[in-house]
Amino acid sequence: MIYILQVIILGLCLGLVYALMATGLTLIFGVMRIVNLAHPIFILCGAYVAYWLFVLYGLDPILAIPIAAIVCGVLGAIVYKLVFEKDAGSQKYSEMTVLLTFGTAMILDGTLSFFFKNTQRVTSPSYATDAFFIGDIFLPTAQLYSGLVSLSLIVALALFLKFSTLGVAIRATSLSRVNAELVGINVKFVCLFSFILGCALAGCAGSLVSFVFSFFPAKHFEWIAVLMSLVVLGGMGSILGAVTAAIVLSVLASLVGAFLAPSWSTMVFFLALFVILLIRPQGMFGKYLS
Amino acid sequence: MTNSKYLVPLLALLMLTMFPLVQFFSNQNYIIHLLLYAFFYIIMTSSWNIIGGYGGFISIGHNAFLCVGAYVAGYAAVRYGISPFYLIGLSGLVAGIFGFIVGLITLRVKGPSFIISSIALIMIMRIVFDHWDLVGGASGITLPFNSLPVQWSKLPHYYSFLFLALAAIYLNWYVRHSKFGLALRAVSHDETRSAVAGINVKMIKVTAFALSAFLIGSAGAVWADYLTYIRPNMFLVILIAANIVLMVILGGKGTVTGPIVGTVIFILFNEIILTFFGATELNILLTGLLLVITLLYFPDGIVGSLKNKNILPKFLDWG
Amino acid sequence: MNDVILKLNNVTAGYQNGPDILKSVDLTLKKGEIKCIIGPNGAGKSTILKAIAGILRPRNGNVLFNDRDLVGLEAYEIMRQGICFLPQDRALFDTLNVSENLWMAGYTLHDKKELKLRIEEVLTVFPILKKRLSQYAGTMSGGEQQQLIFARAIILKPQIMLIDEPSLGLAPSIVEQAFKHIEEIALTGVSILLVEQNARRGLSSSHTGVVMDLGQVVFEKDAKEVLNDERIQELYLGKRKSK
Repeated sequence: MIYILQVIILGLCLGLVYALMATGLTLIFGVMRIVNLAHPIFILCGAYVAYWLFVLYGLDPILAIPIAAIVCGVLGAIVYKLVFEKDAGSQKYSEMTVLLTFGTAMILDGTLSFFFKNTQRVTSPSYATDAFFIGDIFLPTAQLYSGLVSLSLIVALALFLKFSTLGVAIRATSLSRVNAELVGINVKFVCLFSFILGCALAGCAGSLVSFVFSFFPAKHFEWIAVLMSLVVLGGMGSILGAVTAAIVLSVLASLVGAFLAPSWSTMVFFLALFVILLIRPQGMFGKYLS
Repeated sequence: MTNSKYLVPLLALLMLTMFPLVQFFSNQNYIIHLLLYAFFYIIMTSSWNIIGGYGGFISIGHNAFLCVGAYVAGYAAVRYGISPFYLIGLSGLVAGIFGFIVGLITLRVKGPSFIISSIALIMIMRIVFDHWDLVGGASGITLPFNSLPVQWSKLPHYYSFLFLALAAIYLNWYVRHSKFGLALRAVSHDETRSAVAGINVKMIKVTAFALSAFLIGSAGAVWADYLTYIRPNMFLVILIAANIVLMVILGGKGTVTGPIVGTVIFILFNEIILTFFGATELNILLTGLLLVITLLYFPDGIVGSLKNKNILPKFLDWG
Repeated sequence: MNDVILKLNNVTAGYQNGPDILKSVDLTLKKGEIKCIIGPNGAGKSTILKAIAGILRPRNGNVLFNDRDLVGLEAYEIMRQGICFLPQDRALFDTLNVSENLWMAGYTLHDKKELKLRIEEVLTVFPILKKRLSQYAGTMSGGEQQQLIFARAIILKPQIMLIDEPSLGLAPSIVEQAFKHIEEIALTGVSILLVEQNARRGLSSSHTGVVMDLGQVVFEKDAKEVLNDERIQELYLGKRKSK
């Protein structure tokens, strides 16, 4: 019983990290209707920034979050200007842009592979091997910290979207571009801003990921499928939905990993995606993209 | 001029059929390898084009069917000692049925959801095959070598792939000009209106998907024999699917000759890169770069762009 | 009452690569005037509004607002100049609540205190909305949504309102309410350019009527004259020919 509880709590912590990974993606999709397959590679970029800052300067990955966010944000701005700006508003927008993001992911993947090779890496701050004990429940510090930091970042994002003027403008734009423009919102700016914010969130997630998972450049392909399943399941564009999906699926995946075999655990995400397609084919996608 | 429409392809075909004769004089195995590699990819791109080009369903998971075809042939070869060449049809059939079932599920959504589901398909199969002890799990299956002398050893694959490639191209041409293809293109434009026009939308989509899975699966059998060993991580990686998509888009999706042109150019491009840079990680970078540039500046591909400008050579203009 | 606030010169426009929908249209709008555009389907009525609002970029000609050319500006920039566009599909943000909708309507206002005051002011004009502040706009009744639309429209105190089919899909009593709002807003000095399928209803609230057909202005007269013109009645108002 304690074991199950333990597995659930670990799943919860990881779920929060997955949730943070998915929020940026959801934000970008909500506003720009871009399914950004390059999002996971941005997360990896953030992870590499945190890794090298730790290895070279001994900077704690949690403290490296702002730097990773800035690096990924800038990278995002460059990618947006070069790749997506020209295409915004074109006819074949959604399908062609998915392939565009896919191409972008391959470019970044190749670049990272070129510099860092396919070595598995993980940041190992002092607390990486520590653990808390609550009664008989054992809580690895790294997982706990990453979960808590993710949670606070997600809450901060939610508050920003709920209460700031720009936040409401972002939500308004995601509901209808034309209507947003009609109340005087500079939609192109909102798009650029959301894209940068989404990439910065990927950077934040990357810093946390760097000490929770071991990573290497090609890892992002697996994450593409994992994150997409969360976003589809949560109802495209709904941050709350993606967060819920992340937590539920991650707990399920932990249980599968604990009782079946760890290598089967990601199956939960992919199967969930198929099940959703089976029972609710329009997904939540239908609402926006049909 | 009008004759060149038939003359050039027939000439090319004749040359390709006769080419292995050079083996009598000198061993050109590398060129044979390149050619059969090109045929192999033409099979995949042409098949992909049926559902991706005419049907508008962009799949980044078509290598799943290649994997199924290869494993059917590979398993039968090891377990029952049947040569994979006898199993081309069976492999294709199994892949086709698998494609039919997958299609029933995933083709219910379109656009980005479909693309994502195709990636998820690869991931699921990867986990399943990695754990499936019957087919060797992650370490895969080793097939028996064929006993031909080295300069002839590639020829069975060469001619099988050539034949399958012709079949795939013919199927493309047929789909482009048949009523079935018309319905498929109608469906890709607007499913509701097609349904109202009396088209069985679901069957059209799923049939096209199964058809393309069938051809790719057939190629998988030959490919398994050619490689002599098969492992999940050789088939179920996104790079193969990405290459297929890139080749079709480069050539021009939704055209008969686009996949051929795209494949040939991409393989040449790849050769040049390999010669200059060797097999490095830059390969994936350049593939991505080529994909992005094509999408941004020539979204209609080479054949499509030339057609728009009315300067498409006759022998490439098959619709 | 006689100063021209909006002037269209020779405006030609169309969608993407399609044919011209508007063919050299000239039109003027005076301060405080309600002008109703009528005409058959496909005449280009809605297209005029879109061309002014910048949702559709005119291919030729210019749109002068207080003698400043609007052609080439983005839609949001035109909205910031003091023009307000109410499209057919209502343009509400369905899953934002009423208060957020009002807030977004004043997005371009940098003085947030002023915005608060104006929202208060608008809520006294439309008291129903005050009770609905935290309700999603999409879940309100047609009449309430209508009020929210007009409330949003006047927050920025625009000089011109472009209204596309205010009566579309509404119950008759709500249509009456809508035209009452339109007339009241015009009394405060706002000029209103209106497109209305229900020509009779539109004209009876307007000062002037414009008849359009095939992308061109056929003629323009006092609204009452248009209403009483027999030829117009036959062609566009659907009255049977009297023997």
